Amino acid sequence: MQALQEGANDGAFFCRFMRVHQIHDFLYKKVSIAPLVVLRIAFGALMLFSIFRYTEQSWISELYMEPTYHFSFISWLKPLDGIGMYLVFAIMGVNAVCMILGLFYRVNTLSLLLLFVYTELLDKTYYLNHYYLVSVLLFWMSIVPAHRYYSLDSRIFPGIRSSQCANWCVLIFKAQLSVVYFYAGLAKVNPDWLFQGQPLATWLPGKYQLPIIGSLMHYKMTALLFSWAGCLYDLTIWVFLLIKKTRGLAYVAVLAFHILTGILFPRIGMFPYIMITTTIIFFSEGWHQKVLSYLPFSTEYLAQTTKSVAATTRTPVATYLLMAYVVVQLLLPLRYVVYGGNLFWHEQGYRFSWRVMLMEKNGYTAILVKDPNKGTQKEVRQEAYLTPFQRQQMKSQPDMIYQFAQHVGDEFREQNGYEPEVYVKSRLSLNGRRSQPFTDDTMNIYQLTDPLSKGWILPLKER
Amino acid sequence: MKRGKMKNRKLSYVFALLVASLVAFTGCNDSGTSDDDGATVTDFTDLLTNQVNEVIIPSATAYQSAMENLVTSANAFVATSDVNTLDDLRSAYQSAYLAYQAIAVHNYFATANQSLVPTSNLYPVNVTLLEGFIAGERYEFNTLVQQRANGFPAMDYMLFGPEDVLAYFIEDEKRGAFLTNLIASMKERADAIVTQWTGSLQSGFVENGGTALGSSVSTQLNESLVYYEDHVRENKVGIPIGQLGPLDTPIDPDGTKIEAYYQSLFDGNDSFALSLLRASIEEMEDLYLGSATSDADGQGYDDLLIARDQSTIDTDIKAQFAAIYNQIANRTTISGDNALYDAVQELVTLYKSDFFPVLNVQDADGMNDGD
Repeated sequence: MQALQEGANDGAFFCRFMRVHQIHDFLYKKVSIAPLVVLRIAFGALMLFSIFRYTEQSWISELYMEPTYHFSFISWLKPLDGIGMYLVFAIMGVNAVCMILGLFYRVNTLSLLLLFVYTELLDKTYYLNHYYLVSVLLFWMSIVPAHRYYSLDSRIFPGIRSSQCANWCVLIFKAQLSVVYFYAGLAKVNPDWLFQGQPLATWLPGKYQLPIIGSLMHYKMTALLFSWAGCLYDLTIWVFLLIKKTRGLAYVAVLAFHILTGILFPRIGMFPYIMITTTIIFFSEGWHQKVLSYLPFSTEYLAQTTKSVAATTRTPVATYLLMAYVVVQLLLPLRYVVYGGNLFWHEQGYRFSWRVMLMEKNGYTAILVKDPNKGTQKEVRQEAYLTPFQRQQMKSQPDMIYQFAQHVGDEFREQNGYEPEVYVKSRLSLNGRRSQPFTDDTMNIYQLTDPLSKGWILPLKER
Repeated sequence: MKRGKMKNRKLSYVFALLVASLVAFTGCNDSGTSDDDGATVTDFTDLLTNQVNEVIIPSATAYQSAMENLVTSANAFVATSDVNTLDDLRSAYQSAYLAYQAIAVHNYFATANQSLVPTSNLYPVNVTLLEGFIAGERYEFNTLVQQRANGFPAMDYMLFGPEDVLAYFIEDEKRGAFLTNLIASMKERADAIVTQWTGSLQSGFVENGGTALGSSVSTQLNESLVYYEDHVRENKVGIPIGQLGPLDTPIDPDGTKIEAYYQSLFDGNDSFALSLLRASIEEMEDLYLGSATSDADGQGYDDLLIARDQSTIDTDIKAQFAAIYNQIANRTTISGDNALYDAVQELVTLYKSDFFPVLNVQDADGMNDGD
């Protein structure tokens, strides 16, 4: 009896293994490497442009050198002194050039990834969803063999040449971008966006000077129309990009959507270009081959005889890891559910979730330091510590408020030898609602050990 | 052949889409222009015309004529220093200082270009520095080095600080010379401000529509609020009562840091400093209401809020102005409890959290990327 049961379990396991095995076969199917190569060149160029733009806008000094305080994600991580940060960006520039050329590809993409993530972790103020996207795409770029074809590496090390790669190397980018779009769309399925047309209804009237569409911008209907269109676009565009029949039209929509948002909201910066560039991965192998054939030296490079690279050992571990990555990507944006309340109000679980353009939040946040021995209380002059950009980002993000409150509290303790009490008095408005108190200003948050602990952030009272 | 056909089909899709969107846009455009609903919502011509003609320029010209009187009084006093000419001078100085409070609120465009605020009213005055400039007969009124020995705070000291003001001027002619030069430089600046505001800027201000960064509405609201935060909330109130400051320079309540400090010592109360504070708040209110100095109520931001069905915000803002006046009326000194500071601060919160978002006026904070 027991043996029979064991046999059945084996069978079930075998079936499951078979399925994994099939997935594994699918993931390791040989496909043309051309899409990966085109993506390498395009993405490398995008990185180079972005780095150039950072330098040109003098953001390196403005964002990393000038501020005396940083809201770092990891407390010990600090910007480098002197010319250090310039060096970081210079190295990233070199890395990007090498990425385009496919020269010492692994070292360069890994360096680019690490340095980029380093600059991103330095200050929460500068967090942007599309920088997070760049980070994860760089991670995958550094793993896939995008340098085996039409690259300097394939000249220097002819042994690595290959016109093929495993299917997953291309699929992972499609999956990642699909997740981005889908969750960006899902985040828009909320009453503010769909029924109030907010925050677009706040933003669009300011665009009345635009040609042709300018005169429509102050109508609430326009905001609602844009909201619904944007939501549907995000939820579905990746499906139409995946389907061969609709791909051409879908890419026209990609161009139209991102160019329009780029014109309407110039402050979203690189985002439209990143999406327009990376979604080319959805195009067919033939399309990418053709693109490559137009590039310089293509006849010379593409005619190279390529060896078939030895098949990767068929271990399901890699398959499991890939699947695990996708599962994490699917679950991470949903973690806000654990916190309850209105996500847009308390913003706990907001980052790393592809939530863009969802909030118009304004107000004033005061940090008050009370000397328990003297009984005196003083509002901290934030200008003495923070740049306008940092102040603006901090005022509505609890983890940043908490971080700064701890910082000024520590400073007081060092100066006076005893602990102060730190209170936060804040009032904010969200998406067209009247302002309301954001924090419980009677709670000494210097004593709180957990920034996420409930209580000091007051719940949002609905309209 | 089949490929070619597919290509054609794809192209025709794209073409159809472009045509459709063009038709949609132009079609909508027609219906948009025929419907005049909302013209007041995006067209700021009336508001800006009223602001520049009835609020800003009258404040600038009032300051200019007050400075003219001050020049006359100062020349008369230096020519014949006696009790009468000193009284005249003091009263002309007070009128000019009060008139300054109004134009200083409009610390943008021409006013900011002329560095009105940093050259006219940074206090407390540094008396040692001031006496050095007087003795050296150095008049660097436009430079940073003289910032703490310039403008009204320098006059406050010279006209009220010395135990015997008449003797102070009579025993050293350099003092009178410094005073007239100082006032002449301030008059020159007042003239330049009026010239600019009544020049091409007058129409340029109205034409600079919208609420985007750099537009007249955004600039006026942002810069007047920045002025209010830095020079009204902080300098006039926060610092003297020890309410606002960095931790590394612990600020305790310090009555010597109030505006018009030497006159307050002379008078034995802060009533003039409180009047200066009140004058600033009144101009903030005039700017908000769009009301001319003659008290005629033109198109202002209050009307805009009401037009956008936000009358509760308007009511709250008006109530807050009243609350601040109430706090000022309730005290004889700037220092005291935090109630005055809290009332002044509350206006900042109301503007930033409720008023500005309605107009989609962004804080001028950070020109970096966002998402």
